Parts: sequence; structure tokens; C-alpha cells
Amino acid sequence: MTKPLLEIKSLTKHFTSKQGFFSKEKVVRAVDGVNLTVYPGETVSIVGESGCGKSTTGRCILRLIEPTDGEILFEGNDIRKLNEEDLRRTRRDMQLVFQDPFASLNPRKTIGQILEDPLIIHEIGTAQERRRQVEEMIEIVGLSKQHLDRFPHEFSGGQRQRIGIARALILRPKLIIADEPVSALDVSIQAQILNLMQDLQKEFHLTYLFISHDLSVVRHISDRVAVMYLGKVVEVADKRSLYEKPTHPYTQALLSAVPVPNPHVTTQRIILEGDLPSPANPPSGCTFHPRCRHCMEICRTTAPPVRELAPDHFVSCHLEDGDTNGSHT
Amino acid sequence: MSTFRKRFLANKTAVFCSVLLLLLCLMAALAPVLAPHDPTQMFQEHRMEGSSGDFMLGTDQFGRDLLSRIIYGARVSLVVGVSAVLVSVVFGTLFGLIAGYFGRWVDGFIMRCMDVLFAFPEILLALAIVAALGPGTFNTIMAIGIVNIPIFTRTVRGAVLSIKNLEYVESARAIGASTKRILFLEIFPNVTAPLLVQSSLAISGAILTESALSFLGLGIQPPDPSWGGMISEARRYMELAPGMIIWPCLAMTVTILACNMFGDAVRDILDPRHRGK
Repeated sequence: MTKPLLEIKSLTKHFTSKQGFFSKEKVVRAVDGVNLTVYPGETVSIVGESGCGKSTTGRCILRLIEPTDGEILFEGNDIRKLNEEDLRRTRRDMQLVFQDPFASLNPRKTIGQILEDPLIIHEIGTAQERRRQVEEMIEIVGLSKQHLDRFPHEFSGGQRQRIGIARALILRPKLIIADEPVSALDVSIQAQILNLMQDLQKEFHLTYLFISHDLSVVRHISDRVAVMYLGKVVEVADKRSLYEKPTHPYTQALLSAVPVPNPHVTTQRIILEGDLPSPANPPSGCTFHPRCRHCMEICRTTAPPVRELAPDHFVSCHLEDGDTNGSHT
Repeated sequence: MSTFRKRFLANKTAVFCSVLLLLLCLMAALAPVLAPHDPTQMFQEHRMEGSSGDFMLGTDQFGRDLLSRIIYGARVSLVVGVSAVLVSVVFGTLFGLIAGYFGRWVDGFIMRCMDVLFAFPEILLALAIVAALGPGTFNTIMAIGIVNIPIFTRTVRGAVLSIKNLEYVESARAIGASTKRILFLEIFPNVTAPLLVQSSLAISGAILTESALSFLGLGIQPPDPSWGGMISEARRYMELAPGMIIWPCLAMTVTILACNMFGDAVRDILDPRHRGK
């Protein structure tokens, strides 16, 4: 393949919380050594349950949260080494689409102002040129010029999400990090927004890093999928092999929970026991072992290495390939 | 904003109080036209008279027209009240934005300073500041302004804390906006509602403090008329000429009530629980 657009190497974010003046510092390992590569033009999804660190990963890439350790290479440059000014310039090329369309637009600004702000901040064009660009962009996302003078509260959730996408696109970025962009919307609206995002991807040659907990949505939009559990990526593969041949027991459990829209097909659900352990006190060895059906002795003591099962299919598990596949159908 | 206007007009208290305040402002602004006499001119042969055709509210112990003095006194009260609150709003907002947004030790430092200011009773602190700076209109404004800074710092800081983690602030950072831009263009417009309510309540407090300072002789200096000063002077002649103390007290009560009720009404209007009604 071509040169990667984004390369994350052992990205780590530890939040420290101090409860009292004399108490010991608690370390929450929200993101614990994540490796991920994103190539230009593709859509990579990060899935996982709430609290697994997928949103934190997204925000670390933009340095909205300062990572504790690791490298984030965007077009070969390490984002973490950039100074304030260079970071500001680089942010033109990577934008964020947010989950909550009600909190992501400033209620005191008109849509026109919201869309023009990025252009003003990066000193692009004259007032007329900016206005023209804003008008163009609002039509691209399927709204009209008349909407520009209105305030966010006059729009529905789906319309607001279109505005959020327009704001992210107006600087013509290369990478869009979409943090659960449709999970706050109705199912019918979800499809519209996803289709819009796919159309825009073709039109503007965008690369998406798509963060979601919804496996059906992920299946619809992604090229490759990374499954996260407790701050670590446990399996990465292209969509096809991941959905057809999930290898990690956690991935298998996740996929078995996806409802099938056919009442005559009965699927065997793999029910995970126990709760997600606290990232402040992760289990020893493989962090998944207390909930794993195939837990072995080695899992309790040693963290599994990352193995390449097939080209571009990576898994981090002690089980040999083929051991678990019989149990999931 | 149009919904705010609609709900404002539907609220009778708000409309009534704003009309009353507007009239008071007009009265203060047009004092030279409205006042029948010069507020410092002494009519020696008409001392401590009741109301009459020439002196509608009577005269004081020097034979000065009470009505004219109350009209001119409104100027002092309103100017001192509004400018003092302006001083507190400007500094309080600035400190509140900085403390709320940056958090950590900046927040700790600013808020501890505010706690120190808060620890003194309002009037005592104002007295101390005026005593240090010396009496006079400007110093009175500064003293009352400084005393009220902590209230605004707290109000703004609280609002900033709830806003700064919202996604639109994060999105501004993702776009590459500077901290200054985020503070003043993204966050500030969203704290104006509590600020407005707090201001109208603080104005009445400031007017009261000014009167108290003038009453104690540390505010506006005679012979310039101020309501507090008039009440102070009238104390000794209360039994002989009750009008001398009644009228300035009444003027002050009406002004303060109007400010307070206006503030309460605006708070009701802006309260999100009433939205969609």
C-alpha cells in the first residue's frame, strides 16, 4: 500500500487522580499502548464498549488531550513534537466531528458564523470569498443558504450534525476523526448522515477515523476495523475478515451480540461475565482474561504479543488460530 | 433572541420595573430641566417647610428645595451604582473567565484572593477602602466596585466551569482558535445571562452601599446632594420636618426595589425550566 497518512505507535494516556493530599496517586490507564495505521482514503473504525479509551485515542491524535507517551505521525511528522503554532497549522488538516449535535454548536452563534470561524482563524480569503465558501459548503452538506442566519436551536439533530460536518470540512482537511457521529441520532437519520459522509469521502478524498460502539454502523462504513478493550487494541483486520472470521474471544463476543434482522435465524450469543474492569486497576497478564471463555494459565501472567494471522489481520491473544472458531457460528 | 423579547414583554414585573428604571434614568439625565430650583440654593426664609406650591416636597434645614435635591441625588445614586457595578463586572468577568478556564493553581490563587475579599463584611471593606483612598465620587465608585468583584468572579467562574468542557469549546480548539478567542468569543457570550441577573441585583446593593457611605460622611461630600447624605442630615430634624427623611428614603426604596425585582424577573425569564412555555 501507499504511505500511511496517520501512524500511531504505542500511544499511551494515563490520567492521574489524586484524591486527598496524603493519599497515593491513582493512575487510570485510559489508553495503554495503542498501535494503529491509517492509509489515505480509507475508513478505519475503532470499536469497543464505553470506557475502553476509544474517544480518548481520538482526542490524543488531535492533541486535544496531551498523550502521556507514544508517537503520532501525521504525514510523517510527529504531532507530539510540534510547537503551538505548528500544531495550529496542522489542525487544518485533521478535524473532529462530535457525538452530541446539541453540545457541539455554540448556541450564541449563527450557522454562518460557526462555519466562517475556521476560515477567519486560519486567515483564509477576504470576507466575500469566505462567505462564498460558507454558502458552497452548506449546500454540499444538504442545507440551504437561508439557514446561515439562523441559530443552532432552530435545527433538528440530523441537521445539526450536517452543520458539524460542514464545519469540519470547510478547511478541506485530509483526516476526519468522527467520534460517534451518529449514535445520538434516530436510526433513519443515521443512515442519511452515514451516506452523506461516504459521498463526501469520495468528493473530497477524505480519510476517516470512525469511533463507534455500534457494530452495524461500523460494518456499513469501514474498510478496516480495530477492536479496543481496556485501553488496548486487541484485534485489527479489514472489515471482511473481522466480521467473518473474528479471532479474539472479545471480538467474537461483541459480534455475537449484534442483532440479526431475521426472526428465523437464531444466533448463539456469547454472554460475557462480569463487568469491564476499572482501567485504574487492570487485571494482570491479558487484561481480558477474567471474562474470557478460553482463559488459560499463561493468560493470567503474560500479556499476549501481537500476531499477524493473515496479511493485515493482527490479533493480540495467546490462543492459536483456529482454536476458537468452531464455537462461533 | 426574539423568544427572550417575547417572554420579557409577557412578564409584567419585568416590563413595569424596566419602565420605572427608565423613568429614573430620564429623571437623572434631565435633572437640570426637571428640577424647579438649584439643589444647593438656600432660601433662608423657607427653612424646614412642608410641601407648598413653590417647594413641592418642602425644604431642608438650610431652606434648600427637597424635590430638586432628590432629582439631583438620583444622578449620584445611579451613576455611582452603575459605574461601581461596571467596575466589578469587568474585573469579576476577567478573573472568573481566567480562573474557570485555566483551573489548577491559577483558579486556586484567584479564588483564595476572592475568599479574602468575601470574608469582610461589605460595608466594612468599602469603608476601609474609602478611608485609604479618601472620600469623593470616584473613590466611592472604586471602593464599591472592588467590594463586589468576588460575587461576579464566582458567578462567571461557575458558568465557565460548566461550559468549558462542552463540545463546541473543544471544537474551537480543534479548529485552532487561540485561548483569547475561545475565552471571549466562545465562552463569554454564554455567561452573559447569569451576569445580567447578577448585575441588576448588584446595582441595588451598590446604591445602598453608596447611601451608607454618604450617611457616614465618607461618600459624596456636601453640599452635593445624595440620598444617603440627605438622610444623614435629616436625622436630627426628623420630628420637626419628617418630609426631610421620608422623601429620600422613599426614592431609595423605589429604586432598589425596581432593580431587585427587575433582576428577579430577568432570572425567571432566562431560567431554562421555563423554556418552551
